[in-house]
Amino acid sequence: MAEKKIILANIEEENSHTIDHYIKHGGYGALEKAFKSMTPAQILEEIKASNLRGRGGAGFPAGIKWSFIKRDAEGPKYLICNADEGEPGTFKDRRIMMSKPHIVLEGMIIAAYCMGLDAGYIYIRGEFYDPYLSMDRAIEEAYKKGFLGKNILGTGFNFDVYTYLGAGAYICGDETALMNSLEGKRGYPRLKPPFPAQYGLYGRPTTVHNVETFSAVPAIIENGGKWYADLGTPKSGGTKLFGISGHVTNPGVYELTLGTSWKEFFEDIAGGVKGGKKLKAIIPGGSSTPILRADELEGMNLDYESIQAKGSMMGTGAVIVFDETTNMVKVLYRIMKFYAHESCGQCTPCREGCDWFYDIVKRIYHGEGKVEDLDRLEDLGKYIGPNTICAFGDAFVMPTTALVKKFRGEIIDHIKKGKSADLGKDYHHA
Amino acid sequence: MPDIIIDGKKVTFTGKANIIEMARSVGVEIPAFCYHPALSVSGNCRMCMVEVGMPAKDKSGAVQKDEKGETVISFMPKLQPACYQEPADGMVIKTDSEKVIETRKRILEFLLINHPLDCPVCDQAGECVLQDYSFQYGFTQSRFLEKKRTYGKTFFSDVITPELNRCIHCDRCSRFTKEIANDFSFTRTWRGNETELAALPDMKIEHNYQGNMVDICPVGALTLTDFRFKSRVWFLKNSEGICTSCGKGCNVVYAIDRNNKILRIKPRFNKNINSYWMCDYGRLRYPVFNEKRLTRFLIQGKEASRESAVEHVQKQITSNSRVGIVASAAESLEGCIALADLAKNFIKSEHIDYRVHSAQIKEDISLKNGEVLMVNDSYPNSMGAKKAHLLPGPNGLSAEMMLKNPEQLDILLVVIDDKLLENQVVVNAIKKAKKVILFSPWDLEWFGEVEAVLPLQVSLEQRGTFININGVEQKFEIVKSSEKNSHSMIEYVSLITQVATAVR
Repeated sequence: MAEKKIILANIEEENSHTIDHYIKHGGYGALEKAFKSMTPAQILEEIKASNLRGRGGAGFPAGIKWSFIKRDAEGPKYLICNADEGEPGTFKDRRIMMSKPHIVLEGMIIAAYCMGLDAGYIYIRGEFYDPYLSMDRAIEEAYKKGFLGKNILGTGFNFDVYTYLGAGAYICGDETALMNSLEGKRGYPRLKPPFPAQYGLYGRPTTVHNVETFSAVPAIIENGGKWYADLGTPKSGGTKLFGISGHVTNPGVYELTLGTSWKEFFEDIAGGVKGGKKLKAIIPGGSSTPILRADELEGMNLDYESIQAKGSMMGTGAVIVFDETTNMVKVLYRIMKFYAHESCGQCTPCREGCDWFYDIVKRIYHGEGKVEDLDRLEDLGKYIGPNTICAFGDAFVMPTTALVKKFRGEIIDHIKKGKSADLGKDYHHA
Repeated sequence: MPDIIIDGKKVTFTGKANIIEMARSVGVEIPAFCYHPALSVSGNCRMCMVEVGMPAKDKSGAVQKDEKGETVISFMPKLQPACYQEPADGMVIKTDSEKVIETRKRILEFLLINHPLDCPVCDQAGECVLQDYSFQYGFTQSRFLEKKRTYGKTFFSDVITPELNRCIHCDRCSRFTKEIANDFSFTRTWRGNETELAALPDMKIEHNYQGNMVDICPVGALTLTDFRFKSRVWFLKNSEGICTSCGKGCNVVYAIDRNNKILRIKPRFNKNINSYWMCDYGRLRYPVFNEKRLTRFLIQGKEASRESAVEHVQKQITSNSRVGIVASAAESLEGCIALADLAKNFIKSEHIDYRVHSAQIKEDISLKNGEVLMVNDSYPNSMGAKKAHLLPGPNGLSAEMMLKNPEQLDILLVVIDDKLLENQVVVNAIKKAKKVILFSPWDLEWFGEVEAVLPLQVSLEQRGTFININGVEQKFEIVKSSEKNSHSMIEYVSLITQVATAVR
């Protein structure tokens, strides 16, 4: 198991973003196959067989999600592509949208056909202006070729896709907050249940998937669900994009079959720690997943179950690498600064707790902390995560408490040094 | 029937309420800040979190039983908000488990870390939900060592004085403006810990229901500008009554201070009339009942005793042949009947009318459900006055005609009310009459010129009945004690008729 380019195939070539290039390399073939020789039920069977799991972070099986939608139900039903890629460390969706936007569209159209959906929205992160233009251009091309619009490929199926640029809130990556934002409301996550499959966008049944999940669909249709499932481990099918950044020799987005060993990925493909230093820790799936110390990575494979067994999560597959010189207090501080800024403020534990967390972490970072503060963080965390409306509470409690637990000694050293602690050359007072 | 177990009590429920309401109906109080029965469920305060479990089922769908034959309950790993969770058959709810109690403590701690705790100078103290819950469920000490969040001074309404440092972001006020008052000028702005209530740029809240936002604010973040710093709430006596400012008849609570003055009016729930709300017009009109009250009897401008004044009035109305009576729909139904009786059987005059064309209030913009709380009828008891038949006889003069040409009457008897005094045209007409006898709750400068003035109680000082514009009969009790020397219409009628019997 190693690098296998399915989504990223031919992505480095010139004009890979154009429809001509995409079609030349077999693009929209899966769409034609699905429309001409498969029934929606067959498509659903293939997706179920593929073991494809949501790539946005939670890893919910796509086939099950698709089966929630009643194809024949009356009234409009919607498809949403979640392109609000805001998780720190994550940059895989941007790569797809910039260089291969048509694979997303193709996946969306197949999904819409399978579930009988009427319109699709691509909710793009506010900062992603170029990907936004890229997607718009791709949609225009697809309309011209007849892959979107009325009576697609003569099957009588109609489907429209619209892009929507967010306003730069991390919380709008939560599917219910995203739908509120799309409806023009404040980006507050909704109370669940009902889930989007019953009450989604404008109160209609809605399916929400990450950009990468849609991108995996065409290959599954083309080669069959079993082929895709066989690429991965028994429980996690197919390939996954991993964006590696930080103190690493070859940062970037890589497509690996699920179950590839961490060692192979990090040492052979990504080239190991930059500058020959020793590895200290990694965050395996974006800033909201718990950090893993270098010694914990022994024998870890890159799939949902293996990472979970180590006490962390696959998340978005955004690996952040820290070498031995990293000040973990600073990591803690930087992560909390982000989350304190991004809490939406709707529910009490997160609104108040997040800033309290940040205040404590800030105090520690600036050399005014106390050892008891660490216990306070752990204690507060227990009552934030389970009591919030959305997953944001867990998203900042899990990584911070893991950091405190795993690097307690280092943080206590920092606290004891007080004002004389070395905060590095780019110490900022904020 | 579907049933549910709350804290060991079995409850049979009907309909799909939420757990809070159902618990309340059996006397289990679940604390909540953001939940309000008339507003949409927001679920943001997380105070009402409870343990919820359902009977465990095995793969075949059969309910599992333990060795003792009791149903195995599988509880959800996370606590659930009782305001949002719908009850289901067989559900088991724990509101007093250790987990729930501990979570409440923490939620209160989170709410209090940024709360200024300025209860000694806060108007809400004494009726503050945060204060009550902190006392009942919270920690006794704070563990917060950081700086509290503060907001700058802000303005968004003439009726409300905001003190946003006290805000706990329950969102009741902005939900009220959107969902009940149908106004979109007020919302939460910014994000996260800096979330701040504000009107939209260059706007202020202008709807007529702003006082309700103060009422539903669980803390002192929104206080009524009018009531600010007037009294600590525990010094006030609350009396239930009916609002007298228009024909709607909203159910209210009057707060009376130690000097027998009304200091504020709050709405009282009545699902048939005003729900939980009332309009600002009615809420802020209470000063008329406190100010310039008449406490003496006057005969031709000179102070007199009650006996001589009543006797004088009796003499005047029996010795003059053309007596006109301008009645008032601000009187209770009983007062109206007494006055009608006086006119018909004692004075034997047909010139009686309650329909004084005084300043009519405009019907207010409607609430979102299309209802209005301020109706196009200035008087609380127009329907009652009509029922008591305070109307001219076949040859009688209407109020309009009496006031148009007051000289045609020998004597004009007027029941003064607050709305009548607002209309200067009517007041001038009264002044023009040959002889005027007034029943008035208020003391005015021009009373020296009239024949006789008798101090009258306002309806808040009596018990009686109002019939509202939709025909709903509502009884009310004495709200405040009456002013010195003042009497009700019923008492005057009986005094006048008795004096007459004695003289005859």
